[in-house]
This record gives sequence, C-alpha cells and structure tokens, in this order.
Amino acid sequence: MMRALLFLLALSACAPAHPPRCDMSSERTLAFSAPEASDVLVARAEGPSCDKAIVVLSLRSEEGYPLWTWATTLSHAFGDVFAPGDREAVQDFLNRWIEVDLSTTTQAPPFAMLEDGATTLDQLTYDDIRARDLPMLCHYSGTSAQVCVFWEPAAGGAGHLFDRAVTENQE
Amino acid sequence: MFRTLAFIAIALGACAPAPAPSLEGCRLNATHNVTWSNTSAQDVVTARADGPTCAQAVVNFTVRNANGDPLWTFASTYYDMTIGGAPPPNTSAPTDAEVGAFLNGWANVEVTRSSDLPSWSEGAASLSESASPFSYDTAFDREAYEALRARASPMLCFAAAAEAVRCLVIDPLSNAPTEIVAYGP
Repeated sequence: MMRALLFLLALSACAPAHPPRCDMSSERTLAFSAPEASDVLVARAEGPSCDKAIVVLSLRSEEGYPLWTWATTLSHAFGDVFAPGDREAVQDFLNRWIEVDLSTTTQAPPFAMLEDGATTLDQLTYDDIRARDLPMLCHYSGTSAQVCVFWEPAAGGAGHLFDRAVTENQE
Repeated sequence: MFRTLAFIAIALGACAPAPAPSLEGCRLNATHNVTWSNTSAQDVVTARADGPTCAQAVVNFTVRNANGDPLWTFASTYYDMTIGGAPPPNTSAPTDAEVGAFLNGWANVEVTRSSDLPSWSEGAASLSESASPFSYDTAFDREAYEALRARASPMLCFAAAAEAVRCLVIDPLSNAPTEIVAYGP
C-alpha cells in the first residue's frame, strides 16, 4: 500500500508544472482631464501565462468613466522576453508602463515634422489642437514607440494625436 | 465587402442569450471559435467588458490561437463601439444583457478571403481613390496590398468603432497577423 502511494507521489512530482496565469495590474492616479483631477491609470495584463499575455492600458476619471484605453499583445509589442511563469517581470513592466509622459499639446511636433502615418488628423485639426495647449499624455506602445493622446474638454474625452519613435532614456 | 460590414452591423445588434448578471461591476465576456490562422486548429476570439458599471465599460477584443498565443488585441469603450462617443445626457445605462449581446455580436466575427477586398487600381494615389463605397485605409503600398489580395488568404474582420472595421491577415513573410485594411463610411 505504502509503495503504491509513493509511486503515485513520484508520478505527480514528474507531471509538468503549468505556469501560473498572468493576470495582474498596476495603477496610479494622475491629473489629465483637469489640473486638479484624480484620474486613474490602470495597466492590466491577462493571459494563460506571461509569454502569452495581452496588456491593456485604461485611463478612467475619478468617477470611473473611461477616458482612454489601448491594448496590445505583450510579446509582439515589447519583445519576446517574458518567460511563461515570470510574473515578477510582467509586474515590473506594468509598474513602468504607467509612468506615462504628461505635458501639453504645444509640446507636440509641428505637423510637417511628423512621420508618414503618425497621425490620422488633417493638418488644420492637428495645428488647432497644438495651438490650444491641451493636456497631452504619451505612453509606450512598443519598445521604442509611443502613442500620444490629447484631452478634448469640449467632448469630455481623449483622442489620438500622434505616434512617435522614442528611446527609453528619452522618457 | 458591403456584406462584411452589414454582417458585422447585424451581428452587433443581434439579440443574444442574456449572460448571468455580474456580481460586482460590469465584467462580462463572450467567446467564439474561428478558423483563421491555422486551418487545422481553431482560434478563439474573446470579447470582454470591464468597468465599475456597464455604462463605464472598457471593452477588449482578443484573438488567440489554439495554443493560447495572442494574435491580436484591441481595446475601446462600450459607447465608442456602439454609438461612436459619449452618450447624450439622461441616456439610461446599458444593462448586462445589452452589453452581453454586444459582446456576442462582436466576438462572432466572419472569416473571408483577402481576395474579397477591393482592388487598388493602377495609377490611383490611394486605395480609397479606387474603391467604393467606403473609405479605405491601408499601411501597405499598392504592390504589397495587391500581392496580399492575390494570395486570397483567410481574412478576419472585426468592428473597431461604431462605424469602422479592421481586417487582418497572416503576413506570409513574418507569419504574424497584420492589418491589411481599415474601412468605414
């Protein structure tokens, strides 16, 4: 009997260990929709394992209304560097991902300086948004790319302004 | 192509069985299996809503292959997807059943062929210039676009806004999904 139990125990020890799911998040408050706002930025990972995670960035108002959201597949956008069970690395990534750049649209490059396809706006609209000095938030969308969105107070929402290439030390 | 947009519009508005009410906030999802990236193993499309209330839901569309590898993901808000922006004042909040029906319709994507896309005529400056009835946008130049179209690859199209559709194919060079076209009114 004891031998049979030991055999079963040994068998279970040999069974392949499944990596834990990669469902985790990181969040911070920031002022984007108004100078005194307490908007909440949440970065969330979700996947059967960390090498198969998707990541979603969501900015909500203090009342919970979504202001901006963006998603990508973690390994495609940020590199095939996350091991299946390495939750610590993904948590570290999420913690760094929410450290977004906050500025205003006057800091956006002139229309003529944008790369082809960097904005979906026409020049008139882009220039107008730039001139209005609206809140601007830029977050990483890849290892060397950022998405920049602006706050449109008239619409009560954020919109995509432009994409840009960056290196991490420029953050 | 018109059939694809019509199909998506109908699917998004279709009645679907009401999911069980969420216990906390608005956390709902729907899944649908499709044959797209691999003819011998189905991919899984998941549409998910997440928010403190359904009126405040962020919605997420994800395609994974049979191994669970993510092929594509996209996020928006419930209202951006259904009415194209913030709702008018005094709009009643969507119920779990309404959001569930939207998710079921969203996940229930159609797989067609890249050859179903409109051709990009020689000499036309853009795809939109030579195609109708929608406005089309592609990151590819004419030569690459026509090459992808000629391959007649399985193409997965999904709703990316209240009146916009994005279509994906597996890039034959990278063997990874790529957006071949986006279109809308």
